[in-house]
Amino acid sequence: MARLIDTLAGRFGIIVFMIHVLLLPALYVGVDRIVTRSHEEMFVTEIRTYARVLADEFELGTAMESEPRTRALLENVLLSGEGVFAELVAGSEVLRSELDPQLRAGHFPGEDFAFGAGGDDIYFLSIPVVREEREAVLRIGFDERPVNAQIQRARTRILTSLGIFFVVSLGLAVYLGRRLARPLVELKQASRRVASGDMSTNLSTDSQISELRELTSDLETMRVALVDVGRRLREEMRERETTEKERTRLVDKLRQRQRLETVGTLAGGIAHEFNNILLPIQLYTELAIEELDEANPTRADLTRVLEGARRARRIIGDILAFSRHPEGDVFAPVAVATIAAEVAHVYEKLGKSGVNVVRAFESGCPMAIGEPTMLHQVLMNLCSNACQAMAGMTGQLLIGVRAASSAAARDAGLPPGAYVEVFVADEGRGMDEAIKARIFEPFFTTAPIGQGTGLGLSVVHGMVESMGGVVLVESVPGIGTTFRVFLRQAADVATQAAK
Amino acid sequence: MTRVLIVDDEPDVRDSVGKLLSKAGYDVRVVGTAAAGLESFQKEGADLVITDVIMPEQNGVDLIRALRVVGGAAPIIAISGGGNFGPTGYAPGSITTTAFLAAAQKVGADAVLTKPFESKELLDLVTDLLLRAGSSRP
Repeated sequence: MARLIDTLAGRFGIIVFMIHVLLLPALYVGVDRIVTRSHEEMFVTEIRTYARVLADEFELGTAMESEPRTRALLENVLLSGEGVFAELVAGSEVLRSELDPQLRAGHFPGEDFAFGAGGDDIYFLSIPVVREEREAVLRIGFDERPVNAQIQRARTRILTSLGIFFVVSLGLAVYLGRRLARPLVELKQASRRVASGDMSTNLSTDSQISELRELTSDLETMRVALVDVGRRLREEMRERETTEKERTRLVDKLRQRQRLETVGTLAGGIAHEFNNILLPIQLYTELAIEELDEANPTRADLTRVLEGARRARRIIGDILAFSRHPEGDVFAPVAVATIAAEVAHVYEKLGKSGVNVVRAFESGCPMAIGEPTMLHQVLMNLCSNACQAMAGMTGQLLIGVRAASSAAARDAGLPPGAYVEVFVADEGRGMDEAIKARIFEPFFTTAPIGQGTGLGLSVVHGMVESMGGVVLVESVPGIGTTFRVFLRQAADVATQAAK
Repeated sequence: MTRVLIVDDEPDVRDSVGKLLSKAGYDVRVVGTAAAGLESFQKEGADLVITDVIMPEQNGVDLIRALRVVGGAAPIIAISGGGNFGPTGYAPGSITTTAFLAAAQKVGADAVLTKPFESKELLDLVTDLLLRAGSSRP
C-alpha cells in the first residue's frame, strides 16, 4: 500500500480523491437545494395559479348559483390528478368534494404557507371568493408526493453524475500521473544501466518539461565525467602496476646482488684463513709421504689427504674468483673470437671422450669490451660445465661468436645498443625450469658429491656482469643446454662515450 | 749451506715450510714478524728470503722494501693467503692480497706464490731463483 502512495500516479490520485471527498459533498448539497427549491416553487406557483383560476371561475361563472354546479367545479380539482381536497365555505355552509380515500385528513387543517408544511404531504391553500356581494372561501389541497418523488429522482441523477465525475477525474488523475512519470521512469532505467557499468548509454529524454530536461542534461554531464574518471583511474592503475612490477624486479635484483656480495665478502675473508691452514696440511702430508716406503699402505691414505687438500685449494680459488672486486680492472676492446678460439683449442687438445668440439665463429665479428683473462675464465668454466653435462654421452660442444641481433639483445633485457654474443652449447642432459632458475647460484650443483664446486657458473655470472654484459641460459631436458654471453661492442661503447 | 729466511706470522705455515726446506738441505731460519725478519737478515744474512705479505704490525711489503734498503740482493719470494683483508676485517672494499702481491713485486720481490702451494712448486722456485742469483754472483 505504501508503495502505491509513493508513485506519482498514486499521489495524483490521492490528491484528487481528497479534493473530491472535501468538495463533492458540499457541491451535492448545494445542487440539491437548488433543484429541490425549484421543484417546490414551481409546484406552489402552479397550485396558486390554478387556485386563482378556479376562484375566478367561481366569481365570474354561475357555479355558485347552484349546489350541483359548485360541486362539479370542486370535482375538477380532484380530476386534475393531484388534487385531493376542495371545499367552498360560505358562512356556515360547507360544500365539499370527495376526498382521496387514501388521505387520512378529513378536514382543512389550515393553510400551508410552504411546501411540506403541516406534515401531511398535502399542500393546502385557501382563497377568498366574492360574488355579488356573497363572500366565500375556496380551500384546496394538492398531493405533494409526486413532487417529492420527482425531487428524489432528481437527487439520484445528481448523485450518479457526481459519482461518475469522481471516478473519471480520479482515473484521469492517475493516468496523468503515469504519463508524467514515464519520462522519469525512462530516466531511471537509463541511470540504472549506467550505474551497473554500462557507460556507453547516453542519458536523454523526449519530454518537453524543462525541469526534466535540465535534470537529464545534468545527469548526462555527470555520466560523462564518471566515464572520464573511470578511464583515468584505469590508466593510472595500469601505470602503477607497471611501475610496481618494475620496482619489484629491481628490488629483487638488488637483493640478489646484495646477497651475492655478502657471500662474496664472507668467502673472501675466510679464504685467507683457509689458505694459511691448507699450506701446512699440504706440506706436512707431502713430507710424511716421503718418509714412508713405496710399499707402505699408509702412503695411499696420505695421498687421499693430499687430494683433499688440493680440492680444497680449488674451491677456495673459485670462491675468491667469485668474490673478486674488479678494482683497477681496465676493460678494453677484446678480440672475443681469438679468446674463444683459444678455449676451443684447449678443449680439443683435452680430447674428452665423447665430446666433439665444433666452432662457429662469424667472420668479421666486432670487438667487445671486457677483460681477456676474465673472458678466458668464463669460457673455460662454460666448457667445463658442458663437458660435465655430457659425461658418459657422446655429443657436440659448440663454441660460437657472432654479432648479436638487436632482437636478441632486447630479449636478454639489455639496454639498446650493439652487442657481441659468445655462446657455448652442449648436447647433454639439459635442465628443467627448477634447476635453470638456480644455475648461477653459488655452491648450487647437480654434480655428484666430490665433483664440481658449484661455483663455476656463479663465477661466470659475476665476471660477465662486471664486464657490463649478461649471460643467459636456454635448456631443454634431454636435448641440451646453451649459455649465451652478451658483451658490449667496443665500437658502440666508444660511440656512447663520445656522446 | 745456503741460508733461507722464512717470515710468516702463522706458526704452522712457517714451520711446515721450514721443515720442507730443511729436509731439502737448506739452512733454515724461521721468524714470526717482519721486525724479527729484518733483524735476522742484518745479523746473520740470508741467501733467500720467503716472506708472507700480510702480517700484523708490519706487513711483508714494508719488510721487502727495508731489505732492499739495507742492501740485500738476495732473491725474495712473497707469499700470500689470497682473499681479502682490511683494517675492519671482512668487509666490502677491503684490500685484496692481489694488490699486496703486486705492491711486493714493485718494491723488489722476485716472485710471488699464493698459498697453498705444493712442495714441488716451492722447491722448484727456490732452486730456480738461487740458480739465477748464483750465476749473477761473482
